[in-house]
Amino acid sequence: MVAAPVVNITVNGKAISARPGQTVLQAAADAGIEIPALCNHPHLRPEGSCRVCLVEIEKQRTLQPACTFPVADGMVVQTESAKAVESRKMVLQMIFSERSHYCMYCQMSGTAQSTDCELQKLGYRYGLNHWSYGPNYAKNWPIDATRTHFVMDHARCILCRRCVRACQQIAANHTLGVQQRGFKTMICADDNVQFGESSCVSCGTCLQVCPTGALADRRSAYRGHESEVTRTKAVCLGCSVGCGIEAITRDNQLLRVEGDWKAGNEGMLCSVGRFDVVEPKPVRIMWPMVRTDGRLVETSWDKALTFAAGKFRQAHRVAGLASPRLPNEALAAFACFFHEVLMSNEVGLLYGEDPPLELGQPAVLHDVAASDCIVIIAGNPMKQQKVVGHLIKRAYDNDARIIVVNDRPTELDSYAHLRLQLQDVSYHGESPFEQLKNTYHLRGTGVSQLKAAVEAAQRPVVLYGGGLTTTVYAALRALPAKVHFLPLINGTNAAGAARLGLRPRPVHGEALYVMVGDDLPDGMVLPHRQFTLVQSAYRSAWTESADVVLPAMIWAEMKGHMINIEGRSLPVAPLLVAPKSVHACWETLLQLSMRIGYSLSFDEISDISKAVV
Amino acid sequence: MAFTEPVLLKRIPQDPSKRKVFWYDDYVATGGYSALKKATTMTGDDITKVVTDSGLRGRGGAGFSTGQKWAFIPKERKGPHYLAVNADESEPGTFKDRYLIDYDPHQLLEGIAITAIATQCDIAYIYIRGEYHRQAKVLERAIAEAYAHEIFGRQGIFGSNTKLECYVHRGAGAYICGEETGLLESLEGKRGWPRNKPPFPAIAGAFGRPTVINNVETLCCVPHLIERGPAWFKTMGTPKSAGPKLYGMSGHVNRPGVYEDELGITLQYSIENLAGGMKGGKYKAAICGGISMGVLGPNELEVKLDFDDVRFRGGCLGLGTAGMIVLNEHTNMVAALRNCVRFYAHESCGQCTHCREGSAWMHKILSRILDGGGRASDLDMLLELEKTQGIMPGTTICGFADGTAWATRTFINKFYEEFAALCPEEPRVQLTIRRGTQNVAVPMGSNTR
Repeated sequence: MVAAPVVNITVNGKAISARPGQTVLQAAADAGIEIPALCNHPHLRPEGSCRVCLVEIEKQRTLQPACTFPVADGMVVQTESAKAVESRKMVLQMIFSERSHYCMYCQMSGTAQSTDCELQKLGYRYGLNHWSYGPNYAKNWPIDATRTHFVMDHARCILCRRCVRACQQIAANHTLGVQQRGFKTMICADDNVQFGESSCVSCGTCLQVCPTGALADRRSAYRGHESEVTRTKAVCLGCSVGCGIEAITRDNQLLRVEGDWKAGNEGMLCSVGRFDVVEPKPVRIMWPMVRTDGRLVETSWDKALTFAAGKFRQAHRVAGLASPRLPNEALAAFACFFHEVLMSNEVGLLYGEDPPLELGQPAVLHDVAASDCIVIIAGNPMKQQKVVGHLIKRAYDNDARIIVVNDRPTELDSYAHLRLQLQDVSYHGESPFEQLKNTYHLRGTGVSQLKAAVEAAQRPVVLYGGGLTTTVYAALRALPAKVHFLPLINGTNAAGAARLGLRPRPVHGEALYVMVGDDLPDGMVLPHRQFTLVQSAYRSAWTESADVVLPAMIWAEMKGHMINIEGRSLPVAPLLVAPKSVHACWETLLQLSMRIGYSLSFDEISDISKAVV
Repeated sequence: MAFTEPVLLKRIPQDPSKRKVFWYDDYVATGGYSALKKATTMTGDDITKVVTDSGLRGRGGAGFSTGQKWAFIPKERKGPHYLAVNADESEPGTFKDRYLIDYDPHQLLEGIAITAIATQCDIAYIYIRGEYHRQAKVLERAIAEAYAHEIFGRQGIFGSNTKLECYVHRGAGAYICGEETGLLESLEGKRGWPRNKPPFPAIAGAFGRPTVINNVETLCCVPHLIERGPAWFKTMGTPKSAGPKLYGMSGHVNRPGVYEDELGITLQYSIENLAGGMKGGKYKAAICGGISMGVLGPNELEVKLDFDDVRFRGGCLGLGTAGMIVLNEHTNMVAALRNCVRFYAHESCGQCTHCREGSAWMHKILSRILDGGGRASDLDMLLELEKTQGIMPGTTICGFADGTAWATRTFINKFYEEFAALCPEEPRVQLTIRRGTQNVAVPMGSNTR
């Protein structure tokens, strides 16, 4: 085995083994030496424009930016030499002088230990206790508050352009840019329109990388410093992508959600996962409610469950509907409850569509971003799986070929190098009759185009939605073996539900049990039955039509697993503690089953997890 | 050492009424394209060697050896090579390239074609300043003629193996696009922001491919060099700065204009013999190579205008483009510097902090000095700003800030009394502020200046 090549450098007198191709800043960071930088971000390509990271390198005539300077064998670096520190102080003074940085009025501001602002942190570190060059109070710096979820305050912007690069390199949305030049330089959206009117999709990636308080989240601003909050890694239950998130909580409240840089989504989130989860929600249901004289009246768990159990026992057949947003454990308990306790097969998902069949080699999210040929068949990732949509756009920026096959218009049409209809890729079998049909109607010409494109590519990925005909599946199965497939499943845990045999379907029975968790109707109406039990976290049109309402946990309180589009089982960890009167779905089902007279065979959530996974 | 006849300006007479554009036929009739014919029989390495031997140094300002620059281009071809011709002549006081393109466009095109043979370039882009409308049109027509006469196009230069396409790309009005990597970004359709180096354009330039970037005047020298050889070239100028040079004389002189002479003439000679002497008063100062190079003071009339003497004896950054702005004794040097710095504050691209903010602060401070609000500390602040910006201390990506710094440095150092007269010592009240456990003496107003 050949040892990995090593570049030996010395930073501040400490010998470091760096990898070739690393920058001085990366090599130093790996060895635990922090070189201050403002425009540099570990997940963005370095630009070397803020000039805070200037260091002294022996044999170099002048100071060099550590964030762009590649390591070389025998290099000797001084990061805190007098010359470097003097230059750094000057940059900090200049940055502080360019806009009106009123630290005390900024939500990021704090003490040397608690500040969240990278600029202020450096100010403390280098002892900037006064200004030689005063701040620019004279100008009325605009604040752009036209976006729903976050605000841009130009007075706090230091023009590091991390947001611009994040918009280009991570979100591949190309909304942010720079207008004017010199000291008039300003961050702008599109052709200098207001952010709210721009092509911004509010993915919030810029917000996550901003080093100062220039980009401020409306919901979490002024609600605590980094040192006062808890960061928990978790999974977003917004859609089937299952993005890794870092939830920022304090005092059992969810303040903010950030993308997990190390997960498959590589730090990216969509507006649903990042912002909608902290938006105000309808009234939370805290206690069970039973309809008495036409009104829902709060009552105890015991009374409500006994009442419901009696109704279910009387009913000839009970039907069940569950939300696909629920984790595997809740869905498994629900299915068990119907099969074993109520002896009913009338159980299905509340909404959604049949997840597509599994095909060929499964792809992971990174394969999409790194692909050089992406085929999107049915499904609309820019709407349903937004993060996947952005990964496709990122691949497009890296010259990937995009082929869209859909009968309806999609957001990705303008990126497509080849646009086909579904019937174009209907593969007709080997029967002589089908061959004849092909010859005469020239159907299936898309199949050869598709095959040619995929064969020419190194790392082709096919994304396919539900509702495909067998002929299309046949065409996809006929693609070469190097293709990786990623199903575009609708419904967060629809894949997990399908493994448990739960599919969206009409269910029959005079009594109905609907387990919605924290889902909201969004205009969907429940089928009318003699008796309806709804288990929901929030009051909604669904609960208003129910006879019995039971409280449920919201996504951030649930524990269990979900299966995402990659087919991976992701742990759903509780971020918040549920109110005392709210129980997990499986516990409710256990209690209910005991009252019906046939107890389910589990006592702990781990029993179900073991059975399911 | 002798300059006997005009070289670059041989088709452009001094008398404006006799000037005319030399289109293809006129150009060939006066010996044009014979150097290119000769070059098609030479190898690329031979041409590069001739240019290296001649000691031709870039006329765009930096004075880097042209032959060496060409030699950096990889010999092995893995894709297209590009030639970017820098005609984004935006340095204040410089107008020599305009003059060359105006009347003798084919001289440039011949230089381009020879350079393409030397460096195996496939496409030449002439990046011309946006304001040069007429010159862009002249070039368009000259290029069309060159295509028609089998210089550019698929058939190869005069049927040889080197195939060259040539395009005019018009700038959009930013000074920074004259910086070579800023030019490349702009050429690629992006914002004209200079790139971090390395990689240098010779390795990864336009569209990530090896690219030669040369100034118009440099390329115009090439045909003459090929025709008459490096030894002839070296008879002009000084040992380290060989060849002819165009001097753009402007300011308080009797006959402003573009004049050709050898490198290494004295400042005195250029004012007296080329520009017809001072106008309106005695000589006081001269900005020697565009404002970025700094200023020559009253007792520096004997400084030789070549790449080295201006630097070592004159204290300037270099000869630059030799766009001379001569100032007479009635000039207010503070106002002159403010004018220069206003240009930098306006043209800084905004990428690096020092340059973006430093140039704006210099303008702010100079404006307040001129408006009568100068303070004793202002000159120190200007000199502090000047010392900490530019690629020479290493604080910026490109050399723009060095220009700002050098103008400020030379103006203030050489005319210190004029500046100091406007910055009176102010009475200072010492305040003692309790800051933590320390008592810190702070001059009043120090945090508002």
